[in-house]
Amino acid sequence: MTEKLLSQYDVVIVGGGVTGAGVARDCAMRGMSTLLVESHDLTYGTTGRNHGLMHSGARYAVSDLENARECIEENKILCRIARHCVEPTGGLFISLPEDDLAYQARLVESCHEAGINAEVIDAAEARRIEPAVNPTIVSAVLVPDASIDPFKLTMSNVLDAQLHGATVLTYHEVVAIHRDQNTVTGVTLRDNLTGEQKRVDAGVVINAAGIWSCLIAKLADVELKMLPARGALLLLGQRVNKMVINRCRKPANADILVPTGNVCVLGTTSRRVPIEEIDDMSVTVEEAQMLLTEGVKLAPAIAHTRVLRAYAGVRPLVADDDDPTGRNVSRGISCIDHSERDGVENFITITGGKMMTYRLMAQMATDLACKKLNLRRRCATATTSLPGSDNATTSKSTTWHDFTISKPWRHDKNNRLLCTCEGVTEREVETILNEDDDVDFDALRRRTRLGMGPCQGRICACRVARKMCARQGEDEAMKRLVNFMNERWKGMRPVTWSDTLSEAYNTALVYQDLCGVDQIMKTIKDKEI
Amino acid sequence: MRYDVLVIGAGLSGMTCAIALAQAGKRVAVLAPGHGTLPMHSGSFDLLGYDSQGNIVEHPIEAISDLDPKHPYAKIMATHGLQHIEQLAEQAHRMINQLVLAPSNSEAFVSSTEQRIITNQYRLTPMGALKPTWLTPIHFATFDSPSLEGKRFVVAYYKPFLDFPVEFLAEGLRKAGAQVEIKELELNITSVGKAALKAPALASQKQGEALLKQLDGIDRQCDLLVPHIFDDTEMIEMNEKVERRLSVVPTLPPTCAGKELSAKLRALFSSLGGTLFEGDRAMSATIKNDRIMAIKSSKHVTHDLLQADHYVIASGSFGVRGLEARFDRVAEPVFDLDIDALDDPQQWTTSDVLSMQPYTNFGVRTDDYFRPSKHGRTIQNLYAVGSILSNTNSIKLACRQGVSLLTALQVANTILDF
Repeated sequence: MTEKLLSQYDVVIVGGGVTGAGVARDCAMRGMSTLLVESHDLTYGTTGRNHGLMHSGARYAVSDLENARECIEENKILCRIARHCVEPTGGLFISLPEDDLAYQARLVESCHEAGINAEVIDAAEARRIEPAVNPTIVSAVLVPDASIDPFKLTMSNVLDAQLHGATVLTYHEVVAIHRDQNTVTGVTLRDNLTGEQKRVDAGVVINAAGIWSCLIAKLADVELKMLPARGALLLLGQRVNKMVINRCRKPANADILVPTGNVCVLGTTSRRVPIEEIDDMSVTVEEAQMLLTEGVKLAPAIAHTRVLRAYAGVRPLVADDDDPTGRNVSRGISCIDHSERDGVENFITITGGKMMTYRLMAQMATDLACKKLNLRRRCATATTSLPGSDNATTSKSTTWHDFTISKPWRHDKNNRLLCTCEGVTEREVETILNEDDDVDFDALRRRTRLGMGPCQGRICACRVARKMCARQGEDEAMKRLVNFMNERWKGMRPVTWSDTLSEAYNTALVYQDLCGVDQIMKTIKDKEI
Repeated sequence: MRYDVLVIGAGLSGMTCAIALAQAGKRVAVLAPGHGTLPMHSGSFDLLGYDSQGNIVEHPIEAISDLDPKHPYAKIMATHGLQHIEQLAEQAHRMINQLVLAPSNSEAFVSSTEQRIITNQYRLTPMGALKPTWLTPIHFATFDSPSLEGKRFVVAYYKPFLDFPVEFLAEGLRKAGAQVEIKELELNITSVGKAALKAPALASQKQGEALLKQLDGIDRQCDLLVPHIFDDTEMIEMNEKVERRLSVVPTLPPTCAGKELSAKLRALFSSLGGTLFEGDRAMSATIKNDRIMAIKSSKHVTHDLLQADHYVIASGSFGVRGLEARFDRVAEPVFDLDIDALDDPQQWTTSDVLSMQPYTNFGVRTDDYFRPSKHGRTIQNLYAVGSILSNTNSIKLACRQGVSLLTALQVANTILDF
């Protein structure tokens, strides 16, 4: 995404995850001139690496009532403003024979206190409404959990920000934050694809860089201690369950199973990692096996379900105690006014929180930015639908947004399927590629789900690479194809059992044995040397 | 019903073994759950294209001596000598001749006396690489050298067909030194639904004539390359009509060559009186005193077990579930045979997807006569052939069809000598 860049903005937002996208939307809706910058691609970080669980708040009700209240409030708001991103599956908190029923009682009580509907149902009823659930359950609590598409949610916020005049730059990294005495005055951006640097003045800089917030803060000479907690998740190749299934116990490993699209996600682990390792998204074989062993207790069918890949995300928690598991850290929102905390004016960090509360976080950060800019405009994001939420998305334009947020475009007849697994069409891919040179396979995947289905791109990868040839040249297209294959491979390697090696072997037969891609890459590399 | 030999698997190795035995008069049955990896068949038969360092092999038979001693070729060499491998290759060549259009490399078998050296040719892959190969049907694009300096090509493609990567194909030819022109074809294809067109489906719509018409005016100095979206019959008709060099290039799978070869293997086997159990998958076996007594399959259960004097397992590698990766180990699911594999799942793979992946070398452990073992004891009347064997490294060595053909024929000979 490369747009015309002005030399000055009221507000510059750093980070193209759901939080940054939400802040950009809010700021733009309140009439500020807004720039959103992201060093990679939108949803590259934790937004693109989580469950896709739309919490009701029940999971936090026992440990953190305030947090739970925020969740249910935002849950209700998202059901109104982002209907196209939400699948109201409902959720169950199941108690197995080894689980303490006293915890269930506390959960229900706390839920009611937080304003979350929570109803205890017996085992027979739970099995009736969710046939995939572990049949040995004792009882369950029914809560309004749901499934949410983080990619679509972020894209819809970005689109709305753009519709309200915001500028959005991907692959642009903030490499310096400028200060005049104690006041932040702007940033220097580096185009990560060309290396070119540009300076932009800003009334306020909002740091929404998730786990990378501490690195952004450091650019303004502000110390911010993050407690990175990495969570590993497994993507399963079928939609095993209809409803979100949680374990009714103190949050632990592998106790959530979320149905999403044609697949479902099992998670998660939680392990504190040193700040130097936040870019390492790899999952170990042990983590993957542990997830599966535990996950089977939620829904036994998981044992016979193909694991498509393993992936990990890092929770952007702010240090406020030293809990070694990273689990009892409050997930509360941290909206930090650095003038109060560090004496640095016009610099705000918004972090902590959860995907669920991104809108509220955006509101808090934008309120603060308004105060700093002496603007009196009220937040309207809770009552204004996101584009795509109301069925009336009939705009004639052919930008990728139309595909991202609007299914009807996809179902245009004469529009051949390119990725059969996820129903991505040829025209959709062509449109996205024609719009933007920076879109590689991974960016296409985030926008369309291409390659995320059972074949993990085996069938469609070559078709997409062909489409890249015209603009990128054959060698670059080939390199992108191989990068994509390596990226998919990274997620497959921790889950070598079941169908993974079968799929990998067939992919090797097609691309290496039949097509000789390994030989072609050797030639390209030799030429470069 | 009792058979002389029961073959498990109907890919290239299983069918080759079954045909050789049926030709010699044996009563043979094949359990055919599918078509193996034949849907990914390029059309060519690779014998040995690269050595273990990845260098191109010019003379495959000579290079066999340098292979890892655990490689199936090395096992045949150890028991029967290099010359026997040549004889097996000749036997395989004769069988292939019965199945496909006259392979273009037939001069490599100048037969009778002095020169019996097999020399690799170069097949053109769908994405424009030139890979060393042994036998290729006459109508495919193959070359004597990986350099195409001075050659001129016109590559035709059909836009709605997504699985012929003409851009990469043309670039590959250019990199090899050729001049290339691309020509879009207009064909009259009716498609159903939104699913992508597949090569065999295009072949069924007989577009040969339409294609020839559009290529009529093209400079006669150019070689014509077209996607392989024709069956053999149509290919022969086209080649009769056109008085110039017209070659096909394989598409992405499913390929026409694979579909056709699979059908012809089955037809040949049936014509020899063989029994084919389509859609039937071997499930388990009764083993007594180190001998297989009977096989239970998805269609032969309890009262109707399959029995034979000899059994051949040709159920392929991971791709078709001849081998299965479990949580903690790799297994062969029918007999639970002993496996050559690494213990630690972390070591099954390496991070670069294009480099040699250790798991691709896993497979059934056998003695030099391709007899597998269970719990360390050799099973006396069972043989393993083709991609299920360990240490083939067939993707990197480009020896997949060769391993299937030669081990299948070798085992057939062993059974016949019994």
